[in-house]
Amino acid sequence: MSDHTPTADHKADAHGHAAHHGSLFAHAKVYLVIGVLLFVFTAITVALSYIEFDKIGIFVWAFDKIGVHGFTINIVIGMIVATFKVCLVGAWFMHLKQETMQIWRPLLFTFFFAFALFMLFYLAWVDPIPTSSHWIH
Amino acid sequence: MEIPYTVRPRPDTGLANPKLGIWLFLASEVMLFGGLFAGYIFMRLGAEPWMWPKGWLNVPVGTFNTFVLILSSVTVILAWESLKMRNLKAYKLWLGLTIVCGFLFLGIKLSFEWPAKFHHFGAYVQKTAAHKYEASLGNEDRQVDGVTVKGHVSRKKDVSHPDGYPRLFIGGHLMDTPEHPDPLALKASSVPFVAEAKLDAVIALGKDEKDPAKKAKALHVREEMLTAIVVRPADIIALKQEPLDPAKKNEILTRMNTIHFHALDEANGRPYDPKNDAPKFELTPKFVDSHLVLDKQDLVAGHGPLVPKLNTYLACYFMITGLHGAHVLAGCLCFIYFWLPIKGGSNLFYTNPEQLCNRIEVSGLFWHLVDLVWIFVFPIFYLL
Repeated sequence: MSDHTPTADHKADAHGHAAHHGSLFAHAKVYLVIGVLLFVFTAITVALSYIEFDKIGIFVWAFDKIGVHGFTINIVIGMIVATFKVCLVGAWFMHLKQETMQIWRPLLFTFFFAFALFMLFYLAWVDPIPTSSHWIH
Repeated sequence: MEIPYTVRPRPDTGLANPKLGIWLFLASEVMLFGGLFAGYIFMRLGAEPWMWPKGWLNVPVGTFNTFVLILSSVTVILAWESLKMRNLKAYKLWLGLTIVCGFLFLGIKLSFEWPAKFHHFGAYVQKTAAHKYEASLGNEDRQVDGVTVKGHVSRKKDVSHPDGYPRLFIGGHLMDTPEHPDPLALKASSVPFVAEAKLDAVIALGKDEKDPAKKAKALHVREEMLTAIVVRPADIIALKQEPLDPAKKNEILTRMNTIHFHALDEANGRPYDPKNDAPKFELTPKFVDSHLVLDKQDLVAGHGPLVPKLNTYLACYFMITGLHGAHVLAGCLCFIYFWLPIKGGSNLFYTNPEQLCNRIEVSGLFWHLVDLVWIFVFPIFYLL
């Protein structure tokens, strides 16, 4: 069973579509701006990887507070930029910005499980209960 | 039977079916790639710092591929936009560009990036034998005209590694020079170290066997083992001769147990140059014309071309970029189907344009996820 009558739809299309979707022109501009931003931030990501942050005093001092040293500073900064780019793609290209709760609800579960996944790996790495380490026995 | 609610929202979910469906699928995709990334991070954290490769991938090419993929993300959304405006011509143009971008990405990956790895050779020197290859590893400080030149170990010192760490990897090309066009060099160099006793045992297989059936079987095993460890046909024939000349055997054994480099990576060719420590933006990686003989006995097992089995980094790299490439291919195939003037493709424009619009929106969402995965893949494998 079809939920839709092609002829009626087509008629509507033939008339006044520009009026109907006039705001989409504005959208195209937004997509191009986001595209350019992604280009720029890709270039920034590449440029940042050539900077040795562990040789710059202020970064060494700031990242020391959260226990990040050496090349890991570069990794953390790189991941922050990548996450920002991913947010741009998600919010505008994938329309998550204006998506309903019906979409967000399953995604929240995904975020939770993905977070738990990374957390499990992190806990396995940090090993917060030292006596459980087999190499101590 | 037609699938319901392809265009009109379903009353209970408030969404058209394909939209909810693709988001559930994307949610599972996030889990798939999330698991792989989490595993990668875990292995990277657990690795010794000197064992984790850096600068093995071509950054300019990777950057270009990133631009191509971002561009395709923009064009696919413009294709969708054009459909919403009921402009079939523009739709075909933008979607066509998306397909071209997708195949350009795959083409660069498969024709340049991956093969470059397969033609490149690498080996890890055992820590205890590192001093033997000091000239190519450059770990210790040395005196040049009364001036101390810092070695790799003292250059690589920071808070987390106060003692620095040695360079143990030697990489380069085996047979790039015209004087050494041996096509078997790569395979022969990948074979692990073979002790003389083991070679003797293999040669002796089936020698004293009386039972003809057993002898034939043993000789067959001997043939297979010789092909696997000796590789070069002329050497195999020489080793099977009776009586075997010990000098000839030693010559073959030496050839089997050494690796001859003819073009070393810059880091090994000019190991004291601190410029090699910093990342470089080079279109084609540089090699230093040099000759180095590696004794397989001094190597960590598993030397060979840069394929997944060489190290964890390459295993992760090929796994994740391979899976990502498969997604790019799948996306391209979907787009080709929607681009072609067929019933389910662009001809749908004349009968049910809003449904075609939804098809592009849904496949576009998939395409954005592929782009999104690459946004993480690019820095973690190419840059960090």
